Amino acid sequence: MTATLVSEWTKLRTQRGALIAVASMCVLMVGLTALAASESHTDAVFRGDDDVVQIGLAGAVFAALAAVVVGASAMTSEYSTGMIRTTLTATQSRPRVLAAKAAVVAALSFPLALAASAAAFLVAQSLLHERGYVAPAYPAVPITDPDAARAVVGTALLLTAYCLIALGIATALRHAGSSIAAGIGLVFVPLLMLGVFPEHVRERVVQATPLAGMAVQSTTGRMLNAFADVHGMPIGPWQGLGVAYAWALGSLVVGYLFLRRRDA
Amino acid sequence: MDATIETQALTKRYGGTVAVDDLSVVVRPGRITGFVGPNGAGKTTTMRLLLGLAAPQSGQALVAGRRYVEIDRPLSVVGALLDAGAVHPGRSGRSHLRWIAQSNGIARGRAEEMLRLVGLAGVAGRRAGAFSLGMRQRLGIAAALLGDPPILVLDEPTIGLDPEGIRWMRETLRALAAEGRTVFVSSHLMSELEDTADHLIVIGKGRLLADLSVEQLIATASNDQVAITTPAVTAAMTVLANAGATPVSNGRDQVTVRGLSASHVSQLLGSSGIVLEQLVSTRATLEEAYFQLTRDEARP
Repeated sequence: MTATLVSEWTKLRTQRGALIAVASMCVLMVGLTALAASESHTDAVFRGDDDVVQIGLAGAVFAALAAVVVGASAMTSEYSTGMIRTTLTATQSRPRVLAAKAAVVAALSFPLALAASAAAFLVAQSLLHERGYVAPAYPAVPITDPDAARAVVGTALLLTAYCLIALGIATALRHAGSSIAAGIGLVFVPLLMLGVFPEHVRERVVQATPLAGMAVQSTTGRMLNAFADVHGMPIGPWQGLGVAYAWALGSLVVGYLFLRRRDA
Repeated sequence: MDATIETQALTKRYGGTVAVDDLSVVVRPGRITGFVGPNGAGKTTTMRLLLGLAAPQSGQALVAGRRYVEIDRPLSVVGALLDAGAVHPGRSGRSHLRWIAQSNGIARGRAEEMLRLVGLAGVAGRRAGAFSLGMRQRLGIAAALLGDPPILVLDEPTIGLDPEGIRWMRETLRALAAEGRTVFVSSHLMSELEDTADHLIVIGKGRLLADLSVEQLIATASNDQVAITTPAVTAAMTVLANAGATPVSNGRDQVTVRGLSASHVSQLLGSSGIVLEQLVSTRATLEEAYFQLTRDEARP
């Protein structure tokens, strides 16, 4: 397994498409969070109600799109080039190949997502302060605050989960276009459902789709106020992240079933 | 190590199409075994079955006495080149060899050694996407040799190569066989293997058509052919047909005939007073022998 991990790591860090995608993920995370923060404003009525931690990580949903590309391209580049045959002759065990890919994708994306989330948070807090988010209604939230730290680490874990979901999808579908489309659909469709369906359906959506992972960002007992009108917390922060990882695991298992049974 | 490749009643179907049909062959070490057949004959499928990339419906393929999936550190037993284009275009040749070597715990220095062996050391840092087809074939050979395997499985390694590249590939394969390795190399063109292979396995529609030496195959080809040039084509055709042969005219002044020796043709025409401007006797080439063997199989 060590040899397979080392080999897959070399492959991933010399695959330009995946590196560009992971860099895009970081840029989107920081850039769009900064945009969200600089466009935020406090108002008299709901003074003290805004979740400055969640605003400070608002780029995550956009970064998730790039995360999908990271995970998908790690597998689709094997099929588009035909390299999968070399991979599977060098390492005959298909579960081992997929497990190693999942591990190196996570090892590449998590630290970078964590750095980007932390940077986004810090930039956003400073911008929010300039926009009038000041004490006493909005005391400064340091990144070491337990809720803030959970949100920052949890966001990095959520982006990693999206990478793994896409890896599983790509293992099943093999083609870059359809895999990325399916992965992006999994990010956006729940968001679109939030805008269309009534409250009880919206609650189900944030409990059961990968979007549940967004709960990890919430520090005010209100979920997703940055995107849609879901009041309260239909799911806890870590439970929500757990749902996203259940999707990742499910997707990888489905991918494995295809990989195992299909000729290469 | 027993470096043979063996297939036992190997059968692979895709839907209703039989790609490999009850194929039983043994490929032995120390020589180049050409694996020939028309496009779609099942050569690539057979190789994928050998390498555990595809699963047969029945029968089995053994390399070095085992099923491929059971081999520990497989690259040190079998080196394969299935598709030289199967290289990530953005990755350098060196990185390509490195990940393959790492997957089987092969020392880093071995990749550099192989790059020198195939003459790519100077360009190994360049993107493989910028490599010519010939360079990619060399890179593929380097990858196949990383584990110093006693068995090599190469699918159409000369396809698309220029004459210099073809010569390099032939010499490389000969040297590898001379070292005692099993070299199993496919081609859809017999001419590519004519000067290279020692032994031939010919398949068509997935079935074994012949498993013999190059000399044996030439010997099985039907008789020599005689081509004559004469102003009296019609008369010549009549004389030859009366002698029991089946002459074929090219429509102008040439007639070819099989089944009669050159001297017999000359004697027949001479005694009939037919002027001969030219008489050429040709031996069947390997290509013709192969064509006779596969022509029925090549038709859909």
